[in-house]
Amino acid sequence: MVNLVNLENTIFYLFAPFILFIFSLIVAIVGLFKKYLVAKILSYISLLLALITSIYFLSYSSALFLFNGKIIIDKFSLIVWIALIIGAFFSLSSMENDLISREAFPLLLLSLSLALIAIISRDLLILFLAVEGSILPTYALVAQFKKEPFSLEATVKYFIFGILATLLFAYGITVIFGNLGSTSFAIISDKIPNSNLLLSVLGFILIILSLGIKSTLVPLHTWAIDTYQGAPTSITVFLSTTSKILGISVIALLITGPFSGLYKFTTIYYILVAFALLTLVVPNIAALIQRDLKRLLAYSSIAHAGYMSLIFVFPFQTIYILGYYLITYSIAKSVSFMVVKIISGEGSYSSYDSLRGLFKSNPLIAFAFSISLLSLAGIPPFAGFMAKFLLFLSTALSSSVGISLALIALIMSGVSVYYYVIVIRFASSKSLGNGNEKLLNLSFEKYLFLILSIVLLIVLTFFPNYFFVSIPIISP
Amino acid sequence: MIDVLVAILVVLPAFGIGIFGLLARRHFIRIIISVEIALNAVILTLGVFSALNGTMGEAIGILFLFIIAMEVAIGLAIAIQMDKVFQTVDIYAVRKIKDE
Amino acid sequence: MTFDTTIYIIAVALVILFSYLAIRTKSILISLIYLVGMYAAGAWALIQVGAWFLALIYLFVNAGGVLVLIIFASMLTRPARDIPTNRRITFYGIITSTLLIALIGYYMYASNINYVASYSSNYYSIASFIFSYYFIGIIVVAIAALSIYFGAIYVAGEEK
Repeated sequence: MVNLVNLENTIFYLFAPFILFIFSLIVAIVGLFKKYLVAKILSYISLLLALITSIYFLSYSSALFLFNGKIIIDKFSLIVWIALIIGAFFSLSSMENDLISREAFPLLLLSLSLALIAIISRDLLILFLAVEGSILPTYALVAQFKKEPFSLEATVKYFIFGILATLLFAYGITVIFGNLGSTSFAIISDKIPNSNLLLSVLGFILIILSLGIKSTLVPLHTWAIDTYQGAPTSITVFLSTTSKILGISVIALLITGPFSGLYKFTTIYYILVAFALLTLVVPNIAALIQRDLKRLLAYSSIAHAGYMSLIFVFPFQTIYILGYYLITYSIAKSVSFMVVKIISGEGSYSSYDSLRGLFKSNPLIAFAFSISLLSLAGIPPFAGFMAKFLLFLSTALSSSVGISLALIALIMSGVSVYYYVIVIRFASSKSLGNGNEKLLNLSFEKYLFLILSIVLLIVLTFFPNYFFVSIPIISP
Repeated sequence: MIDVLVAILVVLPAFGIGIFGLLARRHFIRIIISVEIALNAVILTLGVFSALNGTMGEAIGILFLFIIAMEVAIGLAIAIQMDKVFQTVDIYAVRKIKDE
Repeated sequence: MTFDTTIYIIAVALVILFSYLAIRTKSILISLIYLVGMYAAGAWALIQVGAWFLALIYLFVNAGGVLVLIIFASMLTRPARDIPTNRRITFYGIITSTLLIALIGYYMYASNINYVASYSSNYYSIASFIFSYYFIGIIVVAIAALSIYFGAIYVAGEEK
């Protein structure tokens, strides 16, 4: 007999994705009547409801199970939910209705809703469907600017690499299903030690390659530079935070979950160490010669994917810091791209000269920008420093390879301070001689978010322990 | 009664042809056709594995087919927009914009 | 190697032949005709394995949906003929795809699965899979399809 699902439990636990879905429908209908302010307020309300739901579920002491263990909401998933929702908040606040027309708000909410479902899924099939379904609206979001050619080039590159990632993920799931008979995480982690090891390794390598394309690990990162530069800047906020956080957390979920018995003994360990090493070194060196602000921030986000990928090498000892790192990264990176949007608009080219005289004319914006860049660089007393410090320390304490990796990460983090400080120096220099820069007239929400980000990036330094996550639970 | 090893090895050249078309062709519609070919090779492999492991393979295959149709839809929307802006769907014509 | 396997190999050989022709033809619409042939051969291969329900859905979605979409899009875009690439890119593409399928093929061959299976589709149990524990999968696909409706119509539509 077909088992009926428990409907009220489902709607209560999955309240956040469902409310985002329903509000996206309402926002789409409201957008038909061209009432953009109402649509924006409704989107904010839905994001706020999702945030309140995830904070409320954090107060539960045990994990929530649905669908016989296919969906598990535990502390790891909730902290990643908060990081994803923060990225969407900042992206929404940097959109203005004369440049982004009516379809951007519902697509953003739908993409976030499916990303939320992807983190709580404990089955490879649902994971694949939710990750692909979260990426599909972003193809349409990047193609917003219909007249600018560089935006279209960014879309085409993003699409081709995204399709390649879908192919590899689908083949990986097929091979793992064929070898083990099921795609559920609990059954996979039980059956892997007794099964045919080569096919499981093959499936895992294919899945890691696909997720590596999505989270911009280094030999597969080439789409990200042009896509982050060519997309409208509000959408780059969303891509560089939510999509990247989704990719990294899904790899962390897979490594500590079903495939945890696999990688200690096989070549997968070397592949992950190679990815981490390349992603630490290459973007930091390539960012030193950039002259365009959006490209520089794109390289810096790839470098941060490198720091996060230190976790993949020793996941059981270092995963507790991942939630804190994701939240601080999400706040800092969103603010930096948001300030680029405020200064240079949604276009693809934003030189450093547009930053000149920023401290004199708009001190709040310059202050928030500098704090976010210093937090990304890892300078105390900002939250990025505490996150990087804890991450490098726990990596170094785990094994001998860990010590060398942490040392390389520390050196590269020092290198990255150079290119961040160049940007801050431009912001604090005198403006070019074309008169006084006028005070930019920002809407109320942007002021609110800038002040909130300054406060959070300073306060969160001292309370990392609230965001420590444990290993994700994969079986009921 | 199908010999599973032979069955899954025989479908691999189709996947390879699809990946080759994805990486090495210039016309955007041809890239989408190559993606179709590669994903259909995955569905055929999944059919063989569902013969081995039960009906869940077919359920997975049906859901993959939905995702394939959606990717093709958004890809073709991008192709139509590319035609409007550049008057061609040659991806090399798109590449020459960046002058850095 | 049983008789069923031989017929399956013939079907997959037709799939490979049609897909190779679909890549190599100069005109996009002719390659779509070869794509139809590939779908038919693929459905035959799936029926040969025994998964006739999957073959049915495969034909519906692919030949009834995706193909029509590609035909309309190829009629709306220029050029209608394929543009030749230079030999170096083609060479690198062949090398990369050959390496990839050699890697996958080596892992599959060395793993020595040697089962022989016989099977026939049971649509009742497919429905009970999708609608009981994987219900969230249908919900996710529905939400993704909704976002494709918004997105594709917006991207391909006209500016006012």
